[in-house]
Amino acid sequence: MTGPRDAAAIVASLENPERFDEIYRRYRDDIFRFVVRRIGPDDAADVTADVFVRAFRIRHRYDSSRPDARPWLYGIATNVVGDHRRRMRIRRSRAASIAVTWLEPEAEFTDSVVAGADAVAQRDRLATALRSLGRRDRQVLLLAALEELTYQQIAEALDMPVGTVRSSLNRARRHMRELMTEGKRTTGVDEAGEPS
Amino acid sequence: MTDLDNQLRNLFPDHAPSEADRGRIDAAYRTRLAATPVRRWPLTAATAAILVAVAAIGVTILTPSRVEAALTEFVDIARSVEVADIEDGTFWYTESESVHLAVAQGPGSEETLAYLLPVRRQIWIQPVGGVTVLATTSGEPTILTPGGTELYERFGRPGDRPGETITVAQESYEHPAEGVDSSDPDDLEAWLRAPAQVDTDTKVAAAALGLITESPATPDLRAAVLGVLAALDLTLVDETEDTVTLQTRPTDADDTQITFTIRADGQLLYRADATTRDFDDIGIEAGFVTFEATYQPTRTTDTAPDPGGR
Repeated sequence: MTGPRDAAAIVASLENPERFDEIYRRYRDDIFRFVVRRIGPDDAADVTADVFVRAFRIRHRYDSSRPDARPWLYGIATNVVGDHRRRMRIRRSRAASIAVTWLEPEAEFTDSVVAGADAVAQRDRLATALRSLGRRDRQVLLLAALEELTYQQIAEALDMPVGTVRSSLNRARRHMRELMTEGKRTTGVDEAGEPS
Repeated sequence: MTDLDNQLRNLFPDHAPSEADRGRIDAAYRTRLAATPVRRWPLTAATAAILVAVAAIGVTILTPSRVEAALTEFVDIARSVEVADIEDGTFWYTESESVHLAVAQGPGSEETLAYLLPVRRQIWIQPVGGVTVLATTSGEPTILTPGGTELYERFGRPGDRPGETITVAQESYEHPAEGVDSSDPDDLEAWLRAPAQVDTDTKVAAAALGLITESPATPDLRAAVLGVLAALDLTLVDETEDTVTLQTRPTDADDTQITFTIRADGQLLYRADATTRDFDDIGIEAGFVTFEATYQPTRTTDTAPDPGGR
């Protein structure tokens, strides 16, 4: 049971900053796992550190009536990862794609090269379906599936009503199943769609 | 836990931190935390006098480089470009022809295959909450690895389907330029340099070019990008009335040298990346061009292909 101790440590850290170390030590590994799953291992240590530095800087905004800090940290991590991705996208040089096979769930259109026919095809369909989700639906789905957060925790993490989380998750799962079943990859550019 | 959840967990496997990972996180966290908050010292009269003297020397000694002079002239041109209003249903459109190095490894295999893949990319971006459509058409690969043709077939011809156009749409896609609201080169450069990894001029140039690659960037942002590039240590390769071709000067911390051509209005027309390192396992030496592309300037269009069922 770590929840009540989280709120107490964060509140105490406003007077005594060293107390924030408790939060860092308690959740460092969880947040690292979350980060690696979203951006791969290369920059994960830096991004994880950024999550806690940002959390430290905005700890005065923490709602101390919420005993468990995990949803708050996942919310911050979601934003930091988004920020990192934006920067990576503008830095991305396809030349640097040497040996990069990490699949980025929220990458715009990954050029990753992967091999192995059937498994890859299935993985490709799943990744394509995931990319076709709206950003919020995708975030909700991944927090539920990978981090196993409850509706309430996801609502806290993403600052949205619980009912919206529920409908978002249902919509995302339905959409994913449909796309996984049908396969949405189509070929051939519509001639009418050519730019004038 | 649903079957879908299990598939997602397989797609994004758990990666527990090693002790080395923890060490890196700790070091980064402590370093950055130590910089919070930023301490400010009052400017003493002596310090101010030194700064004034240095500034005066700088003004008399320094003259703008040719790169800076050319790009500074372009800044005004880029900023004055008039852009038509984007209405509902209108798309930004751009396309590129590129050749890039692809590297693949077989599942559970140490064998590595390297090949060059020509790709045509067409992109339709519908601003603000719209849909972005990407169509890619691959050409025939050029296998680089000795004996690689057999590997290529055995790997299932990974990553490409020659001649086939793959069209996908994404509602939540946002070009990086759409999230940057800066018309000031200094602010923009500070923002680009913020991540610890962006620590060289080549990396700043790469980041800046990303904002205007296949991009709906505003005239102000294009002008700011030109301003950022003007301040970097670049080599002037070629110059015409309305374009400059520039090259970065890689340091030991860079693994790429970038050559690019940019038009006076801030449209990127060409980019080539050459590796500065050898990759012995795939037979690639420093200087090898791993990515080369020509870009059409971004323009507007009323139509985009339907990727099917959206």
